[in-house]
Amino acid sequence: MADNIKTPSIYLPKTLSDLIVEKGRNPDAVLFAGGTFLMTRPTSNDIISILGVPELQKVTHTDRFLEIGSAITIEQLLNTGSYLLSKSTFNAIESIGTTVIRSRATVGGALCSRSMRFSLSCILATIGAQAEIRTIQRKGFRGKRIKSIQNWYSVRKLYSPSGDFMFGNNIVMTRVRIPARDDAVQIFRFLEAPMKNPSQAVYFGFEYTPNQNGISQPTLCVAYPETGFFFSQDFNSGLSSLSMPAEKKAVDEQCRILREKLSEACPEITEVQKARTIRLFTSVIQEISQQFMTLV
Amino acid sequence: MKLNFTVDGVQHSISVNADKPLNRIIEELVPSFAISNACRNASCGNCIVLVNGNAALSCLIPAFRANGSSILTYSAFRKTRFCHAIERAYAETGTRPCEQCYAAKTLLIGSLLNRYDQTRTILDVNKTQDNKQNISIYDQNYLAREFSINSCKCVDIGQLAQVVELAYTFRRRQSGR
Repeated sequence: MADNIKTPSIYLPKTLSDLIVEKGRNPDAVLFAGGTFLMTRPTSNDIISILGVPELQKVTHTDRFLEIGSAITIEQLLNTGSYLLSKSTFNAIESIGTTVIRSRATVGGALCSRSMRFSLSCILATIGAQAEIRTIQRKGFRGKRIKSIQNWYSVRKLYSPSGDFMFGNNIVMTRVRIPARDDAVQIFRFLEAPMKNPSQAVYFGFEYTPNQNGISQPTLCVAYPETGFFFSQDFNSGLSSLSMPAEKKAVDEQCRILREKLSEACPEITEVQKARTIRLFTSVIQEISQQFMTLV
Repeated sequence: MKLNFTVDGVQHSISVNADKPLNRIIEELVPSFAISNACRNASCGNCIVLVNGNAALSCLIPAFRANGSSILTYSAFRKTRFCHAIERAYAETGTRPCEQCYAAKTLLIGSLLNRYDQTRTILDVNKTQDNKQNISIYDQNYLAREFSINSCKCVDIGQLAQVVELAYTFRRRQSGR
């Protein structure tokens, strides 16, 4: 019986090129960063630890964006990004787990988990962050030459509407670029813990830029731990026409459209999640309306 | 794999599976660490240890990540003066966590006070008020979030806040500040 028990092999690459070669040779191997999620889901696949790769631990800081390696922990992101992230984004990231978890969990791990979406993916998708993905290809005789092609993708495009991570096993996420937008306002609401109650948890993110007549560039992004990831350009465009303070009739109409779009895009989310999303949307629009009333 | 690490000040060099969780390894090395009700799944928060001075859930650390690190369990922490300050605070406030979570909560308080001390020093040096991550042990919401890692609800968060505050006072007195 003991013959059937397989102990995974651990690879500890020291450079990014080593990591890519190792992942190219062993595409089924699991990339291990903080382990806060992977250790709760034991695997018999081989493990490649990315923590020894200095390229994935880099932080670059300009006035326009913050660029972080994917092996940066969420706590490090808070420390380095405290001057660039808006207060609401900072608070939203700070609400992820506790310090004990945040100082282990990495940004890459939170974004690339295959079976579960975490609130960080909703936060970064809402504020328009981008991720650099290296796709590994085997070329040459018997695929002995391993190459990688790097591309930047919006975090919103990493997930399908059903919440699945869109890329296969042959990728490595290397960097994440978080834009600095002083004029935009973000609102985040997270309900329930993803690990304890995934069928009821909702991560709600909304970003907008206030102007004289209402809001411009509205971005709504909602993630559900196991069943969906909602981002609709059509819906966001429709929201731009909403004048502020919003009338009840107009809000009800937007809720109806949102309900339809949700049913269409994320059919697997539960009724509780759907109802919560609509409620959160209504309360956020009312909150923005109130701010416009005080301005008037 | 060969794992070299220090547990409670004792250097160990053992052969283990590279993905074996640290809590299972420590259970074998420190008998008093054995936790009867531990979930082994990052849910209960009873397996907290200090890894290089910071609190961590030992069930989330595989053996290969513990290589070269220094681990302190409650068995060794209880002999330090920092623990005495916390235990004195328990006695003064009449609050005592249950047997299951006593070690975890005490280590968590110890780690929180360490971080608070470090952050205060940084703030004092930089003289900046703009730091958003201005943690405060006097903020009950902050403490409630930090203690949520431990699922045992035997002690009210208000009482725990009193313990933390008092333990910090005792600790400052010990340090002569």
